Amino acid sequence: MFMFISALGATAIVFLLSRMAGDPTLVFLESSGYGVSEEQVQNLRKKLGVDKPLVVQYGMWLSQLARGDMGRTLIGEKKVATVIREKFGATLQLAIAGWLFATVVGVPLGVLSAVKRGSIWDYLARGVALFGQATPAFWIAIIGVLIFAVTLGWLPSGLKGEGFSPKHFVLPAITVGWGAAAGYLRLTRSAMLEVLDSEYIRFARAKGVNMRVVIWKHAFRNALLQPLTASILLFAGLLNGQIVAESIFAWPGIGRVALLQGVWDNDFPLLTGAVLVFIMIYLFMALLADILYGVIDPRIRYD
Amino acid sequence: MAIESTQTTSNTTDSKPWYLPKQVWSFLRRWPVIPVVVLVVLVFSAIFAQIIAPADPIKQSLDLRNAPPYWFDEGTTENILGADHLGRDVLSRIIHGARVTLLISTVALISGLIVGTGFGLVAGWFGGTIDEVIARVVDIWLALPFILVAVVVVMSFGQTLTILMVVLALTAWPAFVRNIRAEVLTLRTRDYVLMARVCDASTLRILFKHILPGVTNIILVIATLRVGGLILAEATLSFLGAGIPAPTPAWGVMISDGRDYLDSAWWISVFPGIAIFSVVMSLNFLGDWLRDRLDPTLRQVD
Repeated sequence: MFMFISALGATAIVFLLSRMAGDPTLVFLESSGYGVSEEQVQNLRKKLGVDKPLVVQYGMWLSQLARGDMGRTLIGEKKVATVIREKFGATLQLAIAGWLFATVVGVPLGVLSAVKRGSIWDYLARGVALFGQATPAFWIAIIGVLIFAVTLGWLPSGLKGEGFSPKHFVLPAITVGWGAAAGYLRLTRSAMLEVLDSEYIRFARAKGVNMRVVIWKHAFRNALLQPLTASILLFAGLLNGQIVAESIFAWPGIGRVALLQGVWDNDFPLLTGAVLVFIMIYLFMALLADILYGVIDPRIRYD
Repeated sequence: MAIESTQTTSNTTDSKPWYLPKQVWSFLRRWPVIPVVVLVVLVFSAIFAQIIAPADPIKQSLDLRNAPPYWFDEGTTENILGADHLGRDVLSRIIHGARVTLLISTVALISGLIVGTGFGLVAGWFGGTIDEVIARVVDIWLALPFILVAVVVVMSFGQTLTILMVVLALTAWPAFVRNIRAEVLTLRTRDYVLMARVCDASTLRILFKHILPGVTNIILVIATLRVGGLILAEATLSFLGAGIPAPTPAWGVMISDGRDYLDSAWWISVFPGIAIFSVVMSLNFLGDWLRDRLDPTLRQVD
């Protein structure tokens, strides 16, 4: 229910905003290259349905959506659903790669930093977290391109015309996961510190349990809860990073097409569709976090 | 305050001389000296940009096109950090960029703070349906892909400073609501608040005179931690071309300008990035420090 309301509210906001960007018919007709008569404009308005009040338009969009139709793009008149389906794979791959990067870097470093509190490792890890939270992802992308693509030539700088390989994922995935990695690190560290300080950990150590078992079996599972709950906030950061990464690395995904065609060319059906997809990804991730929460902590039961 | 001052005196009356590395290190760990210095430099250069900047930030020059920083063989002290693809001095543009950054982030933060605090107070105090509605609005807000929405707003209403501030303010407020609401929930059951209600103080009076002072610490901490995010968001928008319009120097725009010249003139992108990074890092440091001083229970505010 909550997911439904969120999706509804968010698409409504984007729909209304994108329609305020001015009359889409003008953009549309300008690109046709011929002079247009008043009558043509009116006909086009009627055809696109933009002559009706905004609320009615949104209602129409919703009722179309309920029938599985996301409308057609203004430019090229393709089905929005088709465009999104074409791009969805690339977006999903990059999103997963970015999330993996954030988790694989953030969580172990957070544990290390908490376990070896006050040591050089702790300072290094905290330095990484501060650095990660203070640097814009797009700047990291550019520095990455500068070092690894331009200077060293190890990695490709974009997707222009080359053969596709896992190497292409490295820099975009780092761009997507950059901010979230720092977030995971900080959350894991503070949660781990709290748990390591508790009575049952001290008891486990006192009875001679191996330190590794204490950390991973006793402490880690309990500490994981906090990063998981807060990770919903990090997902938003991941999706923002996604849009930035797609536009920097010419990644053929939804974020790029939404930004280039949906926003700059005022192709509002496409934009609204893309936003809907992003919201669905976000909500799906939130749901996944909720489910994982129950798996990790068996005390939590959903009825 | 009394405790703090005794701490400092014991610190300074230490028998060892203050300039030893260990002493300096512990002093730096105790007080956020470096972040404060960075922020003072930021504010100073924002206010006196016209006087400090060695060159006109928007004056173009073909001769100086992609001129390197001064430590290169071809570099001159005219352009200490080099010049960009239009021959504009990078250092001057960074100094003037501080102005835009400071202005936008401050205004956006303050408006976001007022709105967020208002909602937080109302949600915590009245509870019930109002609380529920506000919580849902915050959830919807967090689910929006912010960058797309911001770019759309900028496109719809025009690429001006005011619109940019509004957009960023719109992203700033939800951070305040949750934490303030939680704090109000505990404050409202306190005896002094109950007394005020018994004395028939008006709701407004209770909220502003009795509750608000109790949450100022939280507001301060969240605000310091949020400014960094706002600066990053502003830079991202500028980078994507939806920020400050062209000739005005802004850090995000500068990074974006240098993208096509990475192989020949990396300094165009690198130095503004360092500026963003040092300012945001200082703010985060300061925020952490304030949080540990004022309200350690806010550990989860990141």
